[in-house]
Amino acid sequence: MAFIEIKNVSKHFGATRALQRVSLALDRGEIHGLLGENGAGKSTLMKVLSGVITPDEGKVVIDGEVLQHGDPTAAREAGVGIAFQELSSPPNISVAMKLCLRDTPKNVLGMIAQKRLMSHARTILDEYDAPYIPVDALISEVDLATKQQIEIIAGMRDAKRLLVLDEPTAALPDTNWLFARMRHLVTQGTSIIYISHKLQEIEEICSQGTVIRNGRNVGNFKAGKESEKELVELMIGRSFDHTFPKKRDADVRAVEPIVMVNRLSAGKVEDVSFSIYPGEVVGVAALEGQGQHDLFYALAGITPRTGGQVQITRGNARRDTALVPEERKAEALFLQLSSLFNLTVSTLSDLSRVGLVSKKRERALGTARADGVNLPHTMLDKPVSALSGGNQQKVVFGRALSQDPACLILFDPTRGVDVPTKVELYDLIRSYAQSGRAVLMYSTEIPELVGVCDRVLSMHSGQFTGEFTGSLVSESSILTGALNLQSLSARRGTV
Amino acid sequence: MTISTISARRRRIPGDLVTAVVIFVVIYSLILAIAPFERNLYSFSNFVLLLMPLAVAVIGTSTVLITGGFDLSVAGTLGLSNVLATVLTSAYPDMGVPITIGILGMGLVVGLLNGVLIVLLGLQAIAVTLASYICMTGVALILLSAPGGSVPIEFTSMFKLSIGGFPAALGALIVLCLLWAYLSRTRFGVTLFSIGSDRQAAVISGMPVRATEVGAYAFAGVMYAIAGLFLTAVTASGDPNAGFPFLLTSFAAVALGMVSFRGGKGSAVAAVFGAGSLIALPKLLFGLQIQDFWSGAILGITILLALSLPLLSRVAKRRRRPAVAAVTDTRSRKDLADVE
Amino acid sequence: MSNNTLPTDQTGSTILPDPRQETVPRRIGAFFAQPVVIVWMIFVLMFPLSRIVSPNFPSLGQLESTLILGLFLVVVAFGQGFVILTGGFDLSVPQTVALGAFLTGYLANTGWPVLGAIAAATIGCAVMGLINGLLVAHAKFPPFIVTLATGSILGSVLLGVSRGTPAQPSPAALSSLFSGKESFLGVPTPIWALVIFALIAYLIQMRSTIGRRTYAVGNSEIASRVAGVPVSSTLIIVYTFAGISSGLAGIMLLGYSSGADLNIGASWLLPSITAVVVGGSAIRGGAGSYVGTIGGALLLTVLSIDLSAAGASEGVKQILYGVIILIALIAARLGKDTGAART
Repeated sequence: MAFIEIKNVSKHFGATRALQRVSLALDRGEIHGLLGENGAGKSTLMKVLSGVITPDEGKVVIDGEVLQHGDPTAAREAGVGIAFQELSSPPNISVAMKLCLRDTPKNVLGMIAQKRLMSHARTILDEYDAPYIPVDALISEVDLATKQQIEIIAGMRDAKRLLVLDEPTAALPDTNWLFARMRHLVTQGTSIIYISHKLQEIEEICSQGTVIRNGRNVGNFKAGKESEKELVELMIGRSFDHTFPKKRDADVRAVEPIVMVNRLSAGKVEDVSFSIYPGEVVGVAALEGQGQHDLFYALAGITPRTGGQVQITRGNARRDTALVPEERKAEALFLQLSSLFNLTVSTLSDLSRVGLVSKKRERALGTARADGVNLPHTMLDKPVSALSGGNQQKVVFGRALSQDPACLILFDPTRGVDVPTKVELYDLIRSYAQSGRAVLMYSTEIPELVGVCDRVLSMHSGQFTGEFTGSLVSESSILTGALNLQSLSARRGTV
Repeated sequence: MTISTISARRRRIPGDLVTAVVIFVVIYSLILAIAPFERNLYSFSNFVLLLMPLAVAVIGTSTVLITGGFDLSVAGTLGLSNVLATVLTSAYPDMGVPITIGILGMGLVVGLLNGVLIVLLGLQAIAVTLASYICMTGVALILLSAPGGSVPIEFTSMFKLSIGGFPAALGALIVLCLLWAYLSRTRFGVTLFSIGSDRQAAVISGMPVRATEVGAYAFAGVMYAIAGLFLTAVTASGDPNAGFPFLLTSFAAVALGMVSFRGGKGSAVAAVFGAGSLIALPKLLFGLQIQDFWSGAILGITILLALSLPLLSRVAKRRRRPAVAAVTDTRSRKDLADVE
Repeated sequence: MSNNTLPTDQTGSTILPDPRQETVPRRIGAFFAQPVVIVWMIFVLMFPLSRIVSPNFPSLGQLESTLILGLFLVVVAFGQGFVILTGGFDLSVPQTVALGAFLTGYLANTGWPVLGAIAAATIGCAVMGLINGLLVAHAKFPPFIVTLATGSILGSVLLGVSRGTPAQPSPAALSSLFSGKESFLGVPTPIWALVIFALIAYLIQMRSTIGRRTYAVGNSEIASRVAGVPVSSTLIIVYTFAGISSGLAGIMLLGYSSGADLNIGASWLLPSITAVVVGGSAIRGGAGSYVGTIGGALLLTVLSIDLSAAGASEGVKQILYGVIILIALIAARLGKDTGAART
């Protein structure tokens, strides 16, 4: 029997089947990659392993012992350590406290011994080769990359038998430190599940892996044996080239731009200038936390600007901008209310006369919008929380489109969305641009940017580092810009 | 590798505590300046006794507020404690100590019940504590249908003890503040603050969130019971509705103590000073010969001013350093949004 | 891909047979599990149950008393419920009620025409609500403490302004309208007022654009901003409405009691919150129906009437109210859990 066995784990959330009878096996000291794109079910599996959620069926066996479900303490005691993405630490505790949560030094009275806490934390940081992290700073005071490192160290400390890393390099500028620590950890007999959607990393550090798509295990692979193209096909379920709509034909810049940004500063963004022309889909590529969030939200009027001008030519559009935000559940949807409400609430004046809403008009407009995004009518009266991720995103799109903005701003619009819905969203994006509007889009999937956008700007540390048009819109060149590297380093298994 | 640009900070200046103390000192100094008859130990002793019920109550209220919760039951537990003390000591005047212990137990049990309903059943804190407030007022009304009764001197003197002119109650207050300061430096305390600033993160980090939350409500319940006992000592009688004014005053005191209503920050000691400011205000108004009915308005305006202070300080900071934009880490937990 | 004999849906995933289908009995069950329906069912049940309390019950007179007395709570609970919908609280209700009553009585007694006095009082209370709304929306103070503070200030101002003459007699026209002695088409006039107010309030909360916006803001302020719903102006309007409804309640109470002093509002704060919670609105905001609130208000009223008839002491009444709130909360919680499992 393998050291770690995951057998037939399933989990559903409302209408979404997040995991369907997933099985995995790891040997002792193995680094096993879990490859899949956003929304494929990787994080759900991780939450099951860490005891945060209880699966509908299946079991997890660690070193011969069955793991008790739904109990984080039991998972920890079984030797499972998890490194979530950086925001799973309360912001108002010190770095030292976070690192020493399991073994906080106390004095004779039971109070936390601050001096010993700090020195204990420093010892830990030395052990993990990160001595420059300030132990007495609060979690809220350190930057994203440092938070991620702290999270990883804390997870590694817990992981006596199994470590699960969830997209650990999303915020880390390079992988050397992480991979060194991982290789050290496995020499102590701990197995690692490395969750990512980045092929190059999985190729480099994992001995073998599993591909997950739509909550199912669709294939196993050994590192170096499969080509990138084959792996990508496994991940997205079909050949890459056919999923994107045709782009705009010529690089026509004769007309005036719809969006003109001049020396914009907001949050992490510093002195950024660019334009978007009618009919264009402009993409932004960046690692986590490089200022793209502040840029997009500042353009949408949510994050306050600290400098510069934004000029938007509205033309015959109803509004300047409409935003499809990063997290639909927390930022875009009125979860307890119906899809009909969600679709129509932005344009109440269309539904009403003298302040009173006409139910007939509401239903008619709602139905029309649902049709516009290919959302089944049966979803209209359901609370939007009951819809699948793809349908929820369609509701968000439907509403944003109904606002008829001059510039449509999309932040990671296909996250957690199934592949057929993605394709529909790409079509919506392209047709909206074609109708003479501007579209600005950020995606964590560089292939997606390559497929959908006419022009891609790469961003790093709050500034643009490159602009790619025409044939330069390719994965390798955009990646260079996003990583802010001068030249590409050699990679194993390049397509 | 990115090196954090934050310089190491050994001591964090508790700005809210300093502000709360300053407000109190200003008000009380004004009183001493205006009214010469206040400048003696007897006056101060009276002030302390008058302060005790509110001061102890807000230690409880602020603790719950720090976890991001809400506790309206202060009014109920306080009133019930007052009524129980009155009724029981009138019947058994020489059982003062066991009655006191019993009432503290009542406070603990009520707090635990609140905690269980809120934390384990997941019911909204405001609604649950509102319900328990109403229930306890009901029980108090059954025990004592109208204000009255007389509390024997053996009981009240326990709380009004004076040592060389200094009220022993002040000592009790200091002990309770020290107790809170101690608790805030234990794992329990750190967890309290963590829950208030980001409950989900605290859960995921493996902190004992549920036990701590229940503990906060239980601790508060005991504080309210103690507050009720001091009220009994001061009024020497019982009133089933004695707690009602405390709904307004305890939250006003907390606001004056600069405790954040969103949770995650604040100090019960600062809230105690806030209570002091609140109790001292009418004295100040009396000394300034402002008519009594204005006290409500002064109270309201003071609260609004106290609420605006953090706002004003943020505006001032922004003007001093225009280049530093507000760096808000606006990312929230992507994948964890599914976890209820 | 493994052998798959089951049908697949558009995502390529297997369509598993849904163990919980939308059968007719299931849908009826779901209908009755809603808090709005439950509260009305219990209200109706109270009448046959009241036989326990007194052989004279149930009676038409009891129903009439319930509706007449319930009018004030229905009015106050609308404003409170509207504010709670946005995730806030209005603790200035007692003082605003007193303002409405006092201003109407005072102006009418100094020679103003009754309608003019009512209009002025309503505007005054609207201003009070407007101030609350501005502080909550723009200064971003927590509504609980802000309305506590403004209420306190208002109460103090009223005390000062009314020095010596806190109690105001009611103008005759008002008393005759709201005392319940007059009838129109056989129905006492306060009941007409109840029906008219409930209708208008229902339209405002459930069918108007401002009502829709309020539900949006209460559900998620962030999503409202992203969706283009104007958060600040919505909040200000909501609090203004709350001020108006508290004021109207005060005006009606002035008529009903043929006079009012400044304490007229004190006993309406907690019941207003209770009626909203019992009526199934989420205390956190974002969900709830005014129909439920009306049911909650009437239920509390008939309970109060029955308990008084039973000779129950004030203490027993209070305990019962507290228990009812807890039951309503637990029921709503259980309903939410099974609702989620249903989908």
